[in-house]
Amino acid sequence: MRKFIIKVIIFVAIVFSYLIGVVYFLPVDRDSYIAATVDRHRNLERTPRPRIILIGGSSLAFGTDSEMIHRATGQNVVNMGYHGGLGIQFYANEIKPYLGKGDTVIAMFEHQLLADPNVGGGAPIVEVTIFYPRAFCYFTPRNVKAYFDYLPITFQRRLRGIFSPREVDEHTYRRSKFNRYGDYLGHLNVAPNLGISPRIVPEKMTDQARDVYEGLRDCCREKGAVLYIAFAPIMVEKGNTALRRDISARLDKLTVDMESLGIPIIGRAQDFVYSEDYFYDTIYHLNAKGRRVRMEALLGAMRQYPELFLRRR
Amino acid sequence: MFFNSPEFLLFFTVVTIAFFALPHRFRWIMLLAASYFFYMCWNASYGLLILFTTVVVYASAVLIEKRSKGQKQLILAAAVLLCLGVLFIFKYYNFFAHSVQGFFDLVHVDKRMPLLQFILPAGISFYTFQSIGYVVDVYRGNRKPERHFGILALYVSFFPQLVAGPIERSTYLLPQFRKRMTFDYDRVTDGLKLMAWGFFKKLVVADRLALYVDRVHINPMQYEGLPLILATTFFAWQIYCDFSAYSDIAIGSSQVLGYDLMDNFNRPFHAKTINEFWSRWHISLITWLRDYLYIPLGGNRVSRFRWYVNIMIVFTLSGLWHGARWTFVLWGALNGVFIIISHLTIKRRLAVKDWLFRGIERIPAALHALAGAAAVAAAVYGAGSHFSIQAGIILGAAGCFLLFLGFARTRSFFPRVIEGMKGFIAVFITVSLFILGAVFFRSQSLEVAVYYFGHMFRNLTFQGAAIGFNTAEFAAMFFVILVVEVFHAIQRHGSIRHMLREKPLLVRWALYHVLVFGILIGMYKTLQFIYFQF
Repeated sequence: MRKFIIKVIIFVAIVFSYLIGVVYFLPVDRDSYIAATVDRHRNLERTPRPRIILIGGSSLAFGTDSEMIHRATGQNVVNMGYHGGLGIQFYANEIKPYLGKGDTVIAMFEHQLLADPNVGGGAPIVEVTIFYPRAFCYFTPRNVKAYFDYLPITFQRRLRGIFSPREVDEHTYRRSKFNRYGDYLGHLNVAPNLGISPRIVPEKMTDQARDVYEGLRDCCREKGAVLYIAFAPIMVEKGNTALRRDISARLDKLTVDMESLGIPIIGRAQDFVYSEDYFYDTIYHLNAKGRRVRMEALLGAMRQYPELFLRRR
Repeated sequence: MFFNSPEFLLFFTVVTIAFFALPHRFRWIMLLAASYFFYMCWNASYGLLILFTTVVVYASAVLIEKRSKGQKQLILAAAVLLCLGVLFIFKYYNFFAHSVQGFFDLVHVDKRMPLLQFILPAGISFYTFQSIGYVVDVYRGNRKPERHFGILALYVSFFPQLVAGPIERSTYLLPQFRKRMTFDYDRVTDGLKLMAWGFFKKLVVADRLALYVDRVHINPMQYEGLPLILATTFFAWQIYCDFSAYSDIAIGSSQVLGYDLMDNFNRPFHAKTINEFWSRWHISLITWLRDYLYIPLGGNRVSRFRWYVNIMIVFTLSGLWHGARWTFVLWGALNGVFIIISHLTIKRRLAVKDWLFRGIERIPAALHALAGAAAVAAAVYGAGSHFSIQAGIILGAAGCFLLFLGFARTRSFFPRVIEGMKGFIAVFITVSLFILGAVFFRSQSLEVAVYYFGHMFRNLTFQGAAIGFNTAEFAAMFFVILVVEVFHAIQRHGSIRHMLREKPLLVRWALYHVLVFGILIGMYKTLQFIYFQF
């Protein structure tokens, strides 16, 4: 049996060596979208309090004008949103070590992520560790599971990247197109190219999503920070009244479910449902017009919580 | 916890280490606990269902022994009814209610059938059949009742084959749980190799083909022609690789622990008749149905009409076993019809085949060559102008083949070529029949299946066949099928695992790493095994 165990260990070690070697030691594109994680953590470390930390997926990166929030509230802003595939567990984990008194956290998770049992993330959970190895420190068992689930997929992507490097065009997602707050600007002056995917809006969040909210709420309380919930934008086609009705009914039920968390909610979910004219390339990514409209709606809704505004108009 | 998840690998490693670390007398306890844990990972409450089935078959088997024939029959009937009752409630009730409701609506009866809100327990059909098989074996006197409740519970719930088979026989598996298993290097490594091959088939072949199949089946009515043919062809290989992969992982993991499970697949796509196909596909279910249903019905030792009725009963029920949907029932029935037609036409088919190939053998080499050259020339000059590119390709291929035949005619290996052609045509027809049947298997409704049959041979052009996949992705789908079939071709000459043993260490390790690398580079994303839902 000893011979067998030694052979297994050697075999597994060889497999892991080429797996890890390809994933972590092949050259990387430092301007790739996911590499922006480095800048976000730098912002998180360096931005002084009082500050508002926005967490969520890519809808936050594409649809937020942090400068507007900064001007309206007088607080510094850190926009941590950049990729839905990281999973809501990771969004929560990565800010927890940086929280302190004077921090306001606004969680704006895409509706789909609240329905997804895979809260630990997808392939980006591996990719993020290539650029920011410290991300391992934030991993919970859910992230570890996701990491091992998606390690082979990342291995393939990295190999494919070597054999068929994609040409970088100006309009693809790039790290350099984020501003200093973490808002993505690369799409603002580009013609929309909307791809419509199914709208997934749960009536009730998954138990795992509830765990994440509750964990973050407790952490904020412990560290003297304050947590709010806001809603991500979502697209419904202008003429599709049946879908609008269905999504409205779902959002009402989802709101009731979220109220049970005991976390203050900014605005009504219905206020962030927009037509296709306001979107760029996916049902969550707002274009310049959508971004402006959403920010006005968000700031309007934030006024129900005067404590968010240090600077009165 | 699916076989294709990292959790299973961890679970299996822990179970294997614990198994060999524990003294023999405690191993069944550990395996039983592991099996229940494995099953209850999906839904803890469904552990009670297995327990219920176990209690029923344990008690009935013990009661059956030393009873009069009439009492035995009564107990057996009660046990079978209870087991099938659970299966009916959890798997078939809603199907039954929907069907009755459809009938009520048809005859304008204003009555609503209540529906049950259950999630189908994973593998319920598998362990129910395995359990019923045990009681019938005791009833027939093929084995003594198992007095050790724990061992019987382990037989019903043994985790490698619990949720998707193979459906084991009590006479084969149960005695193995009492054997003292020792660590056997060759057996363990053989088991691991089989598991690795199973992972390859599932992750690289089945899940990749599923991309195409699922894309078509999201809305099949927007396609016609080649995409529909390719989707159903890919589905045939997808389901084979998916299900046989599960069986390989189940058999391999059992083998690591020292237990032998029966083979479930034997290169079905190399079968030359539809009868042979069903002796190579899902062997454990087909032999179960043969032994516990077909033979009690009289098998083929009855009138010809009754024999055909028996075949139809067995295959229709095998369809229903797969799923509570009319499409599954029709799939099963269609396969029964194929078998009956195959029996009815066997003499004529053989006569036609002999006539055809004798004719081919008589054609002089020069005529083959001439016809071949003419076909190739016609393809080259006519394609695109006088007929379509597709027709040109087919004509060109036929021409090349005729040229080859003309060449072979002058050589000593010509009889082998003729035999090969006979075999190829037989395999092609058999597999095509299965693929046609697979339309019912994959279609979500009869309406879709009817659309499928009505449109799959319309507008046959290569244009749009890739349905949005790029060339590399599309080619990869054919390539992975080719890899599986090359392995099968090698397997005709014996077990690959045994062949590997003869090779030097470096060669073996290089091949193992090629397989692992192939899995890593070829897997797309992990999907649930199809047969879990049965």
